[in-house]
Order: sequence, then C-alpha cells, then structure tokens
Amino acid sequence: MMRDARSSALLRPAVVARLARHIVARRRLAPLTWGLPLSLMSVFVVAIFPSIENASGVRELVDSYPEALKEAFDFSAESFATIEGYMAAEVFSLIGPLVACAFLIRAISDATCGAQARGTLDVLLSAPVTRREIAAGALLAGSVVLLAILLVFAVLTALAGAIAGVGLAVADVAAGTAALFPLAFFFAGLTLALAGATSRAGLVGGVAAGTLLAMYLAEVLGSFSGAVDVLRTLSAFHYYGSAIEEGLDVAASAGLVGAGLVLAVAGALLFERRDIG
Amino acid sequence: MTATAPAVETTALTKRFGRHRGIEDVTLTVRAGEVFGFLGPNGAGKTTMIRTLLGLLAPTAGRARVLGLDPHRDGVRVRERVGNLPAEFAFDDGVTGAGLLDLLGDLRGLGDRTRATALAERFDADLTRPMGDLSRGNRQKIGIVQALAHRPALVFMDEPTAGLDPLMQEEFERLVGELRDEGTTVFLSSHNLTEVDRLCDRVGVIRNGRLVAEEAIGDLPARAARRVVIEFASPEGAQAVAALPGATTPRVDGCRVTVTFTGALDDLLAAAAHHPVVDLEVSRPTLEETFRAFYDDRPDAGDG
Repeated sequence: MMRDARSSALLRPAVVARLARHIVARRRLAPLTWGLPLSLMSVFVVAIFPSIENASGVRELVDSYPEALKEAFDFSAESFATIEGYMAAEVFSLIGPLVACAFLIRAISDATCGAQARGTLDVLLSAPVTRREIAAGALLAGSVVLLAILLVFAVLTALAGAIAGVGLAVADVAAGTAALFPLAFFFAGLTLALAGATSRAGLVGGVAAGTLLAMYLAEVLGSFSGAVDVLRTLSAFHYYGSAIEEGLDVAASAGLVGAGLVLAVAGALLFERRDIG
Repeated sequence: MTATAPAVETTALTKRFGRHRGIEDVTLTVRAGEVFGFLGPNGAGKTTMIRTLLGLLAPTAGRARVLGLDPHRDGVRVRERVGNLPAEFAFDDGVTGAGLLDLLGDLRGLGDRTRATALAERFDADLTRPMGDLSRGNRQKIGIVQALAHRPALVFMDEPTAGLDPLMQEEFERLVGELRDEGTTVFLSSHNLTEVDRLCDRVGVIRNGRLVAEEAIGDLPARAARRVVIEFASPEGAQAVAALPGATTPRVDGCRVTVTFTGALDDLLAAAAHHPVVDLEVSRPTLEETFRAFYDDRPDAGDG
C-alpha cells in the first residue's frame, strides 16, 4: 500500500511528544494515586524490618516451610536476615511488579481503546496525525508516568531505609526499582498489540492482566515442577530476577524492553489497519 | 486537485461490518464549494459514510477520493485540509476547550489561532471549563470551533446543530452561509429535513446504506410529501381523497382520512371541496414518511 511521505514517515517526534504530553497531563495524579500506596507499603515493610530481623521465631517458621514453596517464592530464612532479602520477598517479588504492570496495562488500554470509546480518537484522528503516532504517544506517556511513579516509590523507600537505619543502600533500591520498568514495559507492548487488534477495552485489559497472572504463575509453578519448566522461559517474570539483591541484569532487562518494543510495533501496525468504528 | 475537481467523489463505495450493513455501492459526487446535505434516518449509514471518507473505516469495496486523495492511504494529507465535527462531539472529560484547541492547533502546526478565538467568541463557547462539565450544546460549540479553526477546504459535519439552542442554530446557519461564500465545501449530515432544506445546495439521501437520491435542494420541495388529515361530514369524502393519485399510505376511519400526499395540493383541495369538510390539517410528514412517499417506487435503485 502506497502512502504519502508524511504518512510513511516512521514517526514525527514533535507530534508524538505533543500527544504524549496530552496523555501525561491526563495521568498527572498517577504518581500519587499509584506511587503513594506502593510507597507506603514499602515504607511499612522497611519500618517493621528491625523487629523481624532478630526474631528467631520468624526464622524457625520460615525454615519449617516446604523447600519447594520457598524456592517458588524465592525466599528463605536468610531473606529475613537482610533488608534487601526482606524487601525482595515482601515488595519486589509480587506487589511491585503487579502495580507497575497493572498501571501500564491500564494506561495503554485507556489511551487507545478508552480514547476510542470516549470519542477522543475521533477528534485526534481528524487532525493530521497517524495512528502509529498515537500508539507511540501512548507508550511514551505511559512510560514517563511510570517512571514518575517509580521515582516516588524509590525516593520514599530509600528515605524510609535511611530513617529506620536498616542499612538499605540507595543503589540497591535503585536497582530493584529500575528492574520494574522493563517488566512493565513488556506488558505495555503486549497491551498495545491487543489494542491494535480490538477496540474492546475490557477485553484488552482482561487478556493483558490474565497474561500477567499466567506468566507469574508459570514462573512460580515452573520452579516447583520440571514438567512446566519450559513455560518459565516464556514468562516475562523469568527475566525479571531480584535486582535489589543481585543488581540489575542489564541483558535481561534489555531483552524485556526489546520484546515489549516488538509487541508495540506489531500493535501499532495492527492499529493502523483496524477500523475506528 | 484542480479548482473544478470534486471535493468528494466515491464510486461503488461499500463498507460492511461482518454480516451487518454499513454503506452499499454508494456513488456520489460533492462539488468543490457547495454545501451538500447528506440526509437519512438514524442508522441509514450517514456516519459510516463520513468515517469511511475520513479514513477511520477501511472500505470493503469501491473507491473514495477526498480533495483528490485516497483518504485511507493519504490520510495525513487529507486531514491537513479537512475539518471534522463528529456526531455527539466529545473529548477527554478533564480537558478544557482551550486545552483541546491548543492540542489540535499544535498537531496541525497552526501558528495563528485568531480564527479559533473568533469562532469561540461568536458561539459564546466556554473554553475554560473541562469538557466533562459542559452540556451537550456547549460541547457542540467547541466541536464547531475545532472543525473550522484551521480554515479547511472541506468540512464534514455530522448532526452539527444537535444540542444547540435556537439562537446558536441561527448563528450556525449564518456561518454555513459564510463558508459557502468563502468557497469552503460543507458536507453536512443530518436527519433534520428542515435544516438540510435551509442550508444546502444539493442533497444526497441515504436509506438502508444505499444512496437513493442525489439532487438539487430546489427539486426537493416539489417532491416533498405532506401529511394530510381531513374529516368530512360523510364517509364518501374520505374515500374520494384516499383514491386520489399521489395519496399514499391512505388510512380511512369512517369520515376521517389520513394520507401522505405527494401531488399538487390544489388537486387534493379540489377533490375535497366536493364534500362538506369538518376539519383539515396539513403538515410536513416525518422523514420516514417522506422517504416512503418519495422512494417506494424505486427502492434501493437510486443514483448510487
């Protein structure tokens, strides 16, 4: 299909930036509404760590758990011996990833399917912009707002660590927080791919959230049983790791971002072809 | 595109949604600079036609040209020169009218925003309140402003006066007259026969997705049906009127007859005058009645 030069230009940065600015403004409270609850939970976990750290009863309790369970959820008695291990088990293994991914799933779905339902897409597509630019604007805006959410989370967590005097290194908090972004970005790409295929926001959000849950379970169950081990390699969570304890795995993170980008590009191409009814 | 090239030209344009009908085989020409009324009842395919011409829907078959370009392939170039007022205009609830006009101005690369400001003042549009707080009519005013702020060569308007109060409807009619004088092509979709009658140079009528007529507005009144109710002193008068040529869908109820009449009213009155008349009522029929009267003799076989 032949297209004119402006349509075939991959993306016009100024147009994408302006669309993203509009979406960011719509999500301007997200650092508070999403970032603050996550941060408060993290602060709470940091605050109670001193009482857990030296409680022998807790260690004995954890030691008594089945090995498979401890392996599946990536914790051990030692997890409760260090603040990094404790944070990994309580915040970075499940709640943190779920919040970050859920935010981007919702943000992308809202900026595409939601915008179509509200009539916003009709107005935007009356202007000389391409659908791929709208898709890129949605991805850029979602990423920027997520980074703001994660910044609030990281700053408050690090501050709580300093105030509580638990020896929580800022670099470890930064690594753990940074690892959330590539994982969430993968699901942003997946959501965009789904939004490119259908205009039904509920279906897009549901399938993306279902995939998130399924991938998490695949990673957990894969550690229990070799039979489903292969599923782990298909799960984004398999490449997420535990950056607060082990540092950021740059290659794995780049892989997640790359996979997210591939899905996003596929979504943008589908979005260009589907009807805006 | 040359000065005389059509603003809109479609050939056998068809859009289906699975097994559902959208538009079927629509062949239509809208000349540059004319105010073209696109008339049809709700669900006839008016909005589908506009969305296909804007490239929002991909045609199932046929060909469309807007300002000489393919709206699906050359969407950006088409939309640089086209304005659009969608049906039931809406935008993100939290955005003010001013914010919306800024956004669209930036996306269009508009340096000069004086046209938008002037239109907003003219329609008394409140640009300071969020869209979600505005009434339908006030949102519609902003919709009109955004559709025309960049001085488009062609503007699509889908039910443009929906929600506007009578004063603003009059202002809108004056604006359309000015657009005509400036040479702007207006593609005005409506189910309001009176509005189309007042504003448009030519009309296309769509029914069940098919174009059933495309003609000058001046030809429409001659063919316009009227709903006539006459109560006679005796049943003979009612039966005589029901039997007249041009009287369609007659309903006789004793001494009372109700018909949709497409002939000359003189003929009807002359026939009625032979019998004592107790009461007489003549009114424009509903659009559906007009359609039945106009097009029952050539179903789905119009210009399209």
